[in-house]
Amino acid sequence: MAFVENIAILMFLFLGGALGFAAEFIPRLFTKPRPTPEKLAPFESGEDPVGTARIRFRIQYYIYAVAFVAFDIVVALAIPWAVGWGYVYWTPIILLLAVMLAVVGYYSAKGDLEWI
Amino acid sequence: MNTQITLTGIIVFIERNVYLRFLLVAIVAFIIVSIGSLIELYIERKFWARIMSRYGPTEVGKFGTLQLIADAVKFLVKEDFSPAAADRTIYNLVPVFSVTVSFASLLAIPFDYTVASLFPRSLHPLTFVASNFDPSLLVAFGFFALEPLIVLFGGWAAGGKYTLIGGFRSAAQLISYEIPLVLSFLSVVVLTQSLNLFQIIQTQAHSWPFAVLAFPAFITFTVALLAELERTPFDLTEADTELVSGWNTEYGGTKFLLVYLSEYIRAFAGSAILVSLFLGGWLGPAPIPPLIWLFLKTIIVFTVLVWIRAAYPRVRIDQMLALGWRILIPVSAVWLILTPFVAHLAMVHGALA
Amino acid sequence: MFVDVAYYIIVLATLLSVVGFVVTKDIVRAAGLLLVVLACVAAAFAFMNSLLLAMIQLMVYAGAVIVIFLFGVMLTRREAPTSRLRQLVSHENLTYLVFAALLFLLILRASAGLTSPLGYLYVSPQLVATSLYVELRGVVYALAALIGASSIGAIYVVRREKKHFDTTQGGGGEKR
Repeated sequence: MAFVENIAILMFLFLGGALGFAAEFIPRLFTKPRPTPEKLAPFESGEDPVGTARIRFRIQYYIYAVAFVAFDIVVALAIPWAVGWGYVYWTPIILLLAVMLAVVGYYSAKGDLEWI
Repeated sequence: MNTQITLTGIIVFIERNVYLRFLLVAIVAFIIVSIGSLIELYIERKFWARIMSRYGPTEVGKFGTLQLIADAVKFLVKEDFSPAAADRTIYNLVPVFSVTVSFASLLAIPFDYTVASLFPRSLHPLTFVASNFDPSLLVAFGFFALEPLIVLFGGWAAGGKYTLIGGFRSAAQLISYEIPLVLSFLSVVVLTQSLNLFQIIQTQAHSWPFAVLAFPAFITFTVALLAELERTPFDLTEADTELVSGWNTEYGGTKFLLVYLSEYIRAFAGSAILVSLFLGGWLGPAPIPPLIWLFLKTIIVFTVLVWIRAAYPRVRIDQMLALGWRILIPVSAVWLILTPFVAHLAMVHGALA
Repeated sequence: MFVDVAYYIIVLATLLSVVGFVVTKDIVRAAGLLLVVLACVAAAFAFMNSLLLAMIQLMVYAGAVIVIFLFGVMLTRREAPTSRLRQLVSHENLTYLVFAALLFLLILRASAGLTSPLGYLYVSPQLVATSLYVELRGVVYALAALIGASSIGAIYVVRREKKHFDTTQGGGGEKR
């Protein structure tokens, strides 16, 4: 850790974690859990819970997650280009962004970005 | 005279030890953010209420200013329960993780410079500056990007199927708007060729504010920030008639307090980053110190966000995802490629340092 | 000296999380431990003077890959987590723990000859920019082609599955 900002990150994480732990666990010294069946059941707008806690698989969530991973990598590669655009070649990043936009265009034209 | 010598002695001792120094910086940042969050929460409740022609909190304290402290005390003394079907370890750890991650993204915001510039020269104020390092902007966004995990684990850990659905919808919204967010701030990085937020603000001292030079990026950044902070018009995951409170329905007492607090810390951090990137950060005319300028601009940006909340209806989830994927990503990507030409033109005509 | 101790603590945390990830019976907890492993790897990048890579690791790996993992996992049948201590201290799990301890000792021994286990090269964003976009630009071209091909292929496969899934499971119409 040659640079002081790493120590600063450590201190911020430590302070945030310490505050979180303190706020979470110190009130437990003063209160006592008093469980009743109504409190422990999952909340379903006042009715009795129906069925198991399992929902039907919707492919839509997965499509968004896969697209996000691919585009996040493109964006992560665009970050160094944004810093050094004056002295590096532009063709790789233009190719990457063009591929990304082409895929977005393909998705939306074929209707895969519809929620339904 | 004696107290002044001991105070100087304490500060010199802290300054010599690098760990204590940055712990002090973290504590100062926490104090500033707490004050900022309290003011934000107060503005949220009062200003929103007045736009809706009602009063908001008026009972506790003069004009309702102590209402937030009363709410915080109420949350702290509530019973700590966990639902029967919950995964207790993850259920207990998610709020702590949420607060830690939100707090860590404050490192990049140069409040420490603004506070250090208020100290007398004889105490080496710049050793207390932690935010002047190279990828500081990226540190803030790296910690912002951990939010989808918090909502997924949070919605799962509570054990009900509606919280799980709420967590999924929330995570889909957050990941959809992360790419326009990053591409928008990359436009500002192109203008200054630096990822250092400190240096971005200093470049704005000698050029036009970047809200003008990178105007499409400013718009897409604001919209993406509204979606990342889950504020209206993008707050469908908290829609009362649909999913009660989204993924954090089953969190009560101190857990809810930590989750709510981390939401407002992120709002403060997001507004401060918007101010630093596009509106000039701590820069402003002389009589008001830089700390007050940065704070004031952040609060004003947050007030505009509250105004947007009061004025706009909520969008549906398919409209929101279509906006994120089909409009914001192409616009921000195309503007990113056009920005070097804008930068060159601006440098030639003296609008950029 | 504190920095070296902190680095070894991160290494130990990584190894323990990996052991936990292999041992645990609840798959969502396994995902959580994988998150801890990736965060420790990001911390290791930070120790080696490259905060840029650490944050990209957090954004891309911990932020995106784990989200995909969780999306795939949480939509399947859920079982109650069972973590009885006797089940934990079975001999397979002890084998993993012993192996992790041996690996940790090996890392300690191998880095005993170095003055510090940390790197001295400062990986700045400018250095990454020139490496990626000037010297290794062929790799980035190949990456662009691969991303394009795999995205189109993934869409094709998913659409085929979606058509099959929707026709066999009773159709859509449920907007959740």
